[in-house]
Amino acid sequence: MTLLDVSDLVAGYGRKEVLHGVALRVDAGEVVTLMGHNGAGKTTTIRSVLGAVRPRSGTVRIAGFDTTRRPVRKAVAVGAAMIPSERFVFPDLSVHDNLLLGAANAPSGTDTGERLKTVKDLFPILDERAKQPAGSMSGGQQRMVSLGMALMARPKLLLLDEPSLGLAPSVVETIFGRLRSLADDEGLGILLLEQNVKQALQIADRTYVMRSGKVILEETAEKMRQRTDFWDLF
Amino acid sequence: MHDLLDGELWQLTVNGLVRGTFYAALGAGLALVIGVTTRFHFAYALTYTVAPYAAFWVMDGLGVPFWPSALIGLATAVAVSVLLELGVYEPVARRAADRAMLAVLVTSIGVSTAGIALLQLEFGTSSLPFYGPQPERYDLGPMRLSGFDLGQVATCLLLVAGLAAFLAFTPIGRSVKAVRSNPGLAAVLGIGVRRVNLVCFAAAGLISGACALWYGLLYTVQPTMGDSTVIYGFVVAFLAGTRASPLRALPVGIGLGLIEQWASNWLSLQWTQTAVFIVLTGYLAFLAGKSRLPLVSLRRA
Amino acid sequence: MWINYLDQALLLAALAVSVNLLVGYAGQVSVAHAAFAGVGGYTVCFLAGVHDWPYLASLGVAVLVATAFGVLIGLIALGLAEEFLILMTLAFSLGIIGVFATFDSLGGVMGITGVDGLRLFGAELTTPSDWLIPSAVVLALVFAVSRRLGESPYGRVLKGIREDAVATRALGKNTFGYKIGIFAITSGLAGLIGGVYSGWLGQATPSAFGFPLAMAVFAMVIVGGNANLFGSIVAGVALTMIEPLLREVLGVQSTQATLLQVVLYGVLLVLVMIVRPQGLFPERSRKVVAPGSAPRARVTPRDRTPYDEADVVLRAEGLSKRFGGIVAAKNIDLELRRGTITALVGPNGAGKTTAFNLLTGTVAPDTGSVTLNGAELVGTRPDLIVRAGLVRTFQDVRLLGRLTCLENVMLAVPGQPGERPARLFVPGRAISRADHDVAAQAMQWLDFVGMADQAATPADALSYGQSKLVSLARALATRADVLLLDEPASGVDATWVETMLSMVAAVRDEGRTVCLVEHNLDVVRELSDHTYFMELGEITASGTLAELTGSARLAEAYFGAQ
Repeated sequence: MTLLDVSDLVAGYGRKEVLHGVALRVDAGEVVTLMGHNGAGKTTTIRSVLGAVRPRSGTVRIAGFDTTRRPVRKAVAVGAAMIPSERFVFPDLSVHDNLLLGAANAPSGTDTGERLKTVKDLFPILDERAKQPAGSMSGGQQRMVSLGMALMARPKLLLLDEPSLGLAPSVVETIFGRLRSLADDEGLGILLLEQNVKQALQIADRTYVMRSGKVILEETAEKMRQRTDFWDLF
Repeated sequence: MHDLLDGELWQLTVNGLVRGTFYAALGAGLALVIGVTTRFHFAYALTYTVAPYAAFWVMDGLGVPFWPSALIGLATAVAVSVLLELGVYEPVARRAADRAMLAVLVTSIGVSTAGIALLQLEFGTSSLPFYGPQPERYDLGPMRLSGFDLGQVATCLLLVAGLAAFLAFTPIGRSVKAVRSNPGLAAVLGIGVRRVNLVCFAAAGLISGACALWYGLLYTVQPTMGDSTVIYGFVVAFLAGTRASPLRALPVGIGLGLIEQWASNWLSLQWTQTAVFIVLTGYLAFLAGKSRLPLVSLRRA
Repeated sequence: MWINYLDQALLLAALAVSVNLLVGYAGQVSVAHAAFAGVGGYTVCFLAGVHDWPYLASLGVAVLVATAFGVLIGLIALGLAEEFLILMTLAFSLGIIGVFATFDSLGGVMGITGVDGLRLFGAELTTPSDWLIPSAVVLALVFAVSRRLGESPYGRVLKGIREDAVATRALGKNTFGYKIGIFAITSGLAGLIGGVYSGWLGQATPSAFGFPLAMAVFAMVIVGGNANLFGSIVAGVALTMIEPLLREVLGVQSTQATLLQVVLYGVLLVLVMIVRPQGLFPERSRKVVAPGSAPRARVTPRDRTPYDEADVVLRAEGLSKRFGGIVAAKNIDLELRRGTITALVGPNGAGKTTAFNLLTGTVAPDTGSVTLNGAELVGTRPDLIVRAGLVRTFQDVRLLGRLTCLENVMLAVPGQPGERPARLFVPGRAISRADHDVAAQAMQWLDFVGMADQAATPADALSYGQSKLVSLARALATRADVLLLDEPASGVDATWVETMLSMVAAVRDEGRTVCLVEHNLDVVRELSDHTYFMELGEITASGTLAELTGSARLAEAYFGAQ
């Protein structure tokens, strides 16, 4: 099943157009990476997908629903969740409150108590530190909080902006491992923005490369791993 | 002689406590607006002044009894506050983008001054005969209190505690804290920042209106009553921290009230207005000193 | 009758001009300038009215007193976040008016009234037409001073502070000093205007200088247009004339007209803010002279000294920094050698940008030292570090959005005489000649990075890649010896990456020292003579890039060999 279907997406800020017609697709159970240099428009892409940036034209369909130019609330309600690359927790609120906020716009019929239990089973540390302010935890633990927050809304599609930022390689490996199993076991579709190209390719199925607001290449991760002229693409 | 001074000091202390809770409530409301919405809401003075004026208008013009009129005054303050955000601040901030703070402050001063001028056009520039029910008087040893004093203290404490509870225990309150803590993340989670802003303005309108009604009963209702009050509100809000729990406003407000009242024992009455300025200057000088200190180290020698 | 209004209009327009210099150019918000005018007004009425001082002398004192208050408030609040400045000026307005109303010698709540018979240069000032000339002179003076300051290299620094104070400081400008300076100058002007205003009124009352005046002046500035002084005069005169029009033409009662005018100001302010926030007369940018055929900065490559033999220009030892519980930098040791390129690589979030911040003094380290040519930099003001010869670019570029590319680069040129306010008022054409020269230099640097044709474009209209090129030109224009470049090639169009590489190489061949943070390993391989590897705030390896990529552990951690 196609969880995300984007076509001809055009978006920008102020008088600047950043995306000039982006198209991509993510299926259930698939990890897709979106790569490209800083300023290529990756973050703008997922922010427009979610509705946090208003697309100027093009369409966005999430889990079959047309959410183009709809508020973020709508995208979250049909199953999308995004984690920003920085400032991804509410630092002065407790871990517990952070998690509850993740469910603020969960699809109707979501049992918050059940989600809380699932998430805490997945990341036991979040249960141990439930009362602690999220900002006082280590970088890796804060990533767990943000992932837990995203999962609270029972998402089908995860949009992750550089989840490896500032983490030790071993922690990145753990988090990427979790992502892979979420896709495999629960059928989540994951769109992963990464600078940490090689590590991301280890868990990816497919990959897009962006440059200057356009997708310039789509390839299977396997083919991409074999490429040697990597940097020419950026 | 000694007893007299003592007695006066007690009275001043009581007055300071009464005034202090009033400042605390005003500061807590303003801190909520500034901390969550980042709007420099000078027109707090307007929502404050509008409440007793609206109450007076229905009481005097339509003959409605006092308490229902007071409720209408409160509702007006809330409505004005919400409409300001919807009709003025939000569009201005959107247009001004990165210079929103300046733009909102300037328009806020404009709207506030203009609104108060409108009140003056309608009701005249002098004070209004704003009377409620006759208050009871209580004598506690050397101290004297009116029922209005007690009503004001109770209302203010209730408002501050209520605001704190609202933030801590309700889902909307949690959304408000989320926007205050990290607006970018809140937006990405689909928490409506606009709706949260409106909630904050409604709460601030309610607090300002309630405070103004009590103030009107205790003293006078006049067009410029909001000017100095809003400054006290700002000072309490910043000293207590615009991102802190509303409960923090209590010690700050009460401290300010006590300083102001005690000062009036030794200084002429008008000087008390400057007490707040001196406290603020001291605080900012301390902040400025703290932030510059590391740069003053004499390493270059 | 009408002449009386004209006097008032001229004086309020002058106040609007001075506030526009502060708000429109320097981007600093003050509600207190109406109160500074009040300080001037009271000083004059007290000295000339009560104590029979000569009017001119009391005006002089008025300017001094207002300036002194301005400096004091500035010293306390200008180093803090914007909202504290606003708060401080709000509280000052209230506090000073409270003080005026307290002193019996200042007339208490009624103020000092009945001041008349003032004389200026032998002429008695009684009728409104007597005041016309002083008012016009004050307006002309304030306009001339403000314009000279605003439309000069000094004004360019002010605009830089308005757009991005951190980026402006990173070009070697003492932003705090400039802020205090402009705050003091505009306070002094407000004091002068207030002194004449009170003289014209014949009184100084607490209510005359309250929030309604502050608001009226803001309305004039906003309606006329930010950073357009001419607009402030037009709006100042036009808005002041609302009241007499209401009274004389529409026959509205006097008190009603005053109130109605305030209401109209408010409505106008909101409308302009929503419909046309830039005001009626928008800010103008510098005209760009077509790029002359100045020869491109020719670089004569010198014999390059091998890396190991080059002198160490910059040395950092044991730099550490913690933010709360997070270690941002741990015991960083590094050296940059003259005429070489050093690269700092590592995963995102490893602390490379923090390292730049520590070296340039943007963030004070907890421990450690940085020496540039042997001189200690830790504890030195960041702008002085830049002037000592260490400049950086920002990963997020930080061009000054509303300034043109040319102005962005011009701002970086060091040692401009026109950046000192005192020099601006020395007669002669030295300043404008120097500025011509600066423009030519800036144009050369723009040409060097291939952006000369965009010289007149506002920076916020550039693409990401273009803005990187302009930011490189800006860094080069500081003529600093050591350049720290944060991701110079990322986002630059592929066709330009080659050019960017040759530019950085040319800079090195000129004898400058370069340190770059870069993700693109091909760029690093091509350019760097020496490479440091950072992870989690620490430098964990150094050597040539080949040595680093050869290390199995690092390959695993970052380069990601399988």
